Amino acid sequence: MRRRDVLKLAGTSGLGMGAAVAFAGCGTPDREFHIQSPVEIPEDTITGLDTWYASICQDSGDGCGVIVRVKSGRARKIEGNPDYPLNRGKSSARAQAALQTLYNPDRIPNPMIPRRNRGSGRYRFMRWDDVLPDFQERLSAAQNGGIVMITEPVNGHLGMILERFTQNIGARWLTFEPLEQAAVRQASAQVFGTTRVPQFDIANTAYVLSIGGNFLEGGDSPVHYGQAYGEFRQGENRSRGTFAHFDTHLTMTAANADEWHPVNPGTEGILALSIAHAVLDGRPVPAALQPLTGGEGSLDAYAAEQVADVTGVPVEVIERVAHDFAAAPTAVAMGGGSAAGHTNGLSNMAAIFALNLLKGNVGRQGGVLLNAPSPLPDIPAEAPVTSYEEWETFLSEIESGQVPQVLLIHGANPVYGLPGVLNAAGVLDAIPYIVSFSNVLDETTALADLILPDHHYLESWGTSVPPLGAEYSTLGVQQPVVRPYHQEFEGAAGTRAFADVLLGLAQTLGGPLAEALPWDSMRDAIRASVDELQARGDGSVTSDDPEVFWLSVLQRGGWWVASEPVTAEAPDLSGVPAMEPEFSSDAEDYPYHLIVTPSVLLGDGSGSLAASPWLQSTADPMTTGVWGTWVALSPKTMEALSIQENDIVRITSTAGSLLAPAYPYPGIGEGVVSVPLGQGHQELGRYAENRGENALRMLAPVIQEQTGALAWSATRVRIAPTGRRTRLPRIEGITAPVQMPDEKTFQVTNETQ
Amino acid sequence: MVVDLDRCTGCQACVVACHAENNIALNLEDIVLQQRAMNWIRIERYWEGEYPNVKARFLPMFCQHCNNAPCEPVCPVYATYHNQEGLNVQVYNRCIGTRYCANNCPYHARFFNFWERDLEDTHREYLNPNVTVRTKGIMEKCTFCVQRIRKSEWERRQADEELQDGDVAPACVQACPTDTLVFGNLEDEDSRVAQLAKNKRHYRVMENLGTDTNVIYLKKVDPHASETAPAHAGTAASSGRNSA
Ligand code: SF4
Ligand code: SF4
Repeated sequence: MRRRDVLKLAGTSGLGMGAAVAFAGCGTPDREFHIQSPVEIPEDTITGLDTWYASICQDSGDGCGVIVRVKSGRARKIEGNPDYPLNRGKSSARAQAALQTLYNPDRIPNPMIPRRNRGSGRYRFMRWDDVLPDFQERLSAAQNGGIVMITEPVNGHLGMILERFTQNIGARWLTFEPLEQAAVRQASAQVFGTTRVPQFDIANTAYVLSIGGNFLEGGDSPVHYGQAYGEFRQGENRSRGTFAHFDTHLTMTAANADEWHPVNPGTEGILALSIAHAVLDGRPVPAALQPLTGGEGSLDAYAAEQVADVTGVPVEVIERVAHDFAAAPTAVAMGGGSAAGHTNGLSNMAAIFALNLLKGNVGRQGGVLLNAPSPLPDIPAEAPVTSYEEWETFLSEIESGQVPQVLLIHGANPVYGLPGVLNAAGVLDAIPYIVSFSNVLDETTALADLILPDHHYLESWGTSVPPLGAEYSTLGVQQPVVRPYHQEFEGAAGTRAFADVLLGLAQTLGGPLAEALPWDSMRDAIRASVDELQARGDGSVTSDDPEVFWLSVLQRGGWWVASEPVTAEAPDLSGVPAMEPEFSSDAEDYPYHLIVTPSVLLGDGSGSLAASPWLQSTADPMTTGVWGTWVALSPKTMEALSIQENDIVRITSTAGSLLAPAYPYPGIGEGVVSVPLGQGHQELGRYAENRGENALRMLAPVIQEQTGALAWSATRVRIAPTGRRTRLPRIEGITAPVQMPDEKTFQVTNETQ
Repeated sequence: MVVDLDRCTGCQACVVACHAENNIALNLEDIVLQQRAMNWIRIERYWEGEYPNVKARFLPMFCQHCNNAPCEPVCPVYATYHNQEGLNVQVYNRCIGTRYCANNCPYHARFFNFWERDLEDTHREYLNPNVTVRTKGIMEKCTFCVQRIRKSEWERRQADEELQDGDVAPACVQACPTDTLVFGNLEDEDSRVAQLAKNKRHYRVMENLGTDTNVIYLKKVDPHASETAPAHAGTAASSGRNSA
């Protein structure tokens, strides 16, 4: 490249921040840029020029579209992809922090095997060629019955490959989701006719009623809903929306509601039926909702006066909210969070979602919009999820002697995430050969006999069908934006993409497996699909030339096409009668409800997010706590138990206990304890290990009968001071948390316009 | 900059985006415990009222780029000064670390480098080459991502054009999912910020101090505002320990 060309390029690259075309060059590139790593940087690399690559974020949990600034062969900054339908240029703390999971000093750089015995904690680096033959042999010997594959729930191309791989090699495929959302999905299936939870169109609605639905911090896509929330509040050309929220405690989403009311844990469904009763106001219950009456034909049993005591919500609140919901020109009812984690999670969610039927919401702007399907029939939009019940069965089978010969693990960490009573580590240890594809040493990987580290998502190929999106049928394409940090070259073994390893195995093992997975690499598999899309001749990118089409799809971060509205199937609410919740133990011995709360920063702790010092040190929105676990208690409870802030308390369930400092949380009732998730790792590197506690371990093994999922909100605990104190690191304290009396820092107006 | 408090959800995307853009030192645990954590932008959370009528409010706080900046006159070496665009800027290689400015900033927007940066090698890889890595003894604070402003200016200049409204988005603004933060030239009548600043919800934080800030906040709308506790009755979550 000559100097003149450089100047020319500089003039055209990196057009303004946030512009629709933030990628190098204008229009379609006529050649593919190659990404350079300084490990073997060519002499003519021009330092000082930015290149932006579009990809998909796998750290934020919702697969949002990102563009990544690459300079001198290194990823420097991640932004939302302004074109991508799910998040339109916006991002989240987690997406931003992916630089630190990429450049994590504790990543596993090479294949490793434990020195001496499994679990010794000491490893020997290996070359791929030295470990693959033995691995292949064992796999081939264990085919058709002896292999178990454990992954995170994944969709897109990896989902397709995993399904075909496990099916054709005769392996059992288990996916692990720590806070199972089975109740949400099944309720969605019964109310809206689809297990893919629909998009609640809050950007265009006048009223949001949420019962436990923490859509701003958890749920399907906080970024998507964050953006819609901004519109809902102060969007141009609309009046300000109103938001009422009910939850067991004041979560971040609840804090953003116009009114929040505590509801007794597990009674969310009863509350929803009571609201439905008040909305109907004497009119007969529509046929679709009849099954919810439990054969009574009416919802009179749920009149506000009847349920006020059970739910803890005052009669006038139920009536007013129902009135507002009914009177609003458009209103949606959202649910989720801890309400879905009770033994009656399905009835809770079904009753909440059914409120939308009263408003005739389905398919309506400002209502509930069903998601567009995956643009390619063989690329799944949804991932299968293994229920807790099946996990229990799987582990007890091993205990009773049906031990698989080979266990393959990718992206899931059941040893960390399953309740401690299952003793997953101890049971899995019986499997003679465990192979992990994780690129960080997590708790499950610590059991492995062989570790074949995967690339980071910024270094590898993949696709994603976004969890939400009614307008567009979308395939997001994840491309490597930098060369692997731990690169394979002479003398170093490096990391390899998980999908590519599987595809290579398929080819070596041959037979139907090789036929089902005919590609040499994930890139080829995606390329084949993209060629199919090109043949359609419509959508966000069109071109007659397959090569130009391919490069343009990569440049835009995927391909999408406007979708016809998806019509819903008729609701079928049979079999979801309102039920009372059941708990792990009685209120006398264990007086408090334990609500485990996923952190907006660290999630449920299942990935490697806790290895990011940015996410570790960013304030929890409600408590400003960082770098640890706390127990959020009502100040009144603390007074009653003579507990001070920062006193270490022990909370004990029938299934375990944990020790953490108490935090006086003004937004929680006396009977409820909330513990954030995400910490308590024994492994995961210097920033995460031996810090805080993992509340998932102490969940009692109570099952939701209707779905087979773990009822993760059903655990009751007792609380005892330990007499010890500590200091919870918090960002607060640098400034006063309380409003100044003379002039308020935070100002409020009650004029809505 | 305009901050619409009615949109902010407290999601912290802006905070991490700022760390990534501006090479801010990692706030390791002991640094936080010493109350020396650096956050050029932070989300302040205010409790209001008593259970169950309790509210938590989120306010993004960062350097307000005061026109009448209390931090400026106290600097003996003119390391902090006002530039012609209205930015309060910090010249790192002038700063001698007296920390007078930090003492004088009513918004707690300034942060001092008490230590030499101790970064893992791998964490050096993502550093933004357009932003200095500050050394021990230096004061630092929000710059409105001045490197992005300069880059956009330069790009426009290449094409013989003026900077346009919307050309520049500091890292926090670009990340914020809810569009709470809007950046632009307040003096340009037609700019989005200037329009928003006319909204009747506008106010400045601690306006009574006369700092004449360049950040306009728009009040949170709360239809039930009068039902909650009176203005000053905050619930100190931490029994008064925090008024440091
Ligand atoms: S907010 Fe503080 S640091 Fe910023 S200009 Fe004002 S006084 Fe100076
Ligand atoms: S990113 Fe936006 S919504 Fe989130 S905390 Fe920052 S200002 Fe508030």
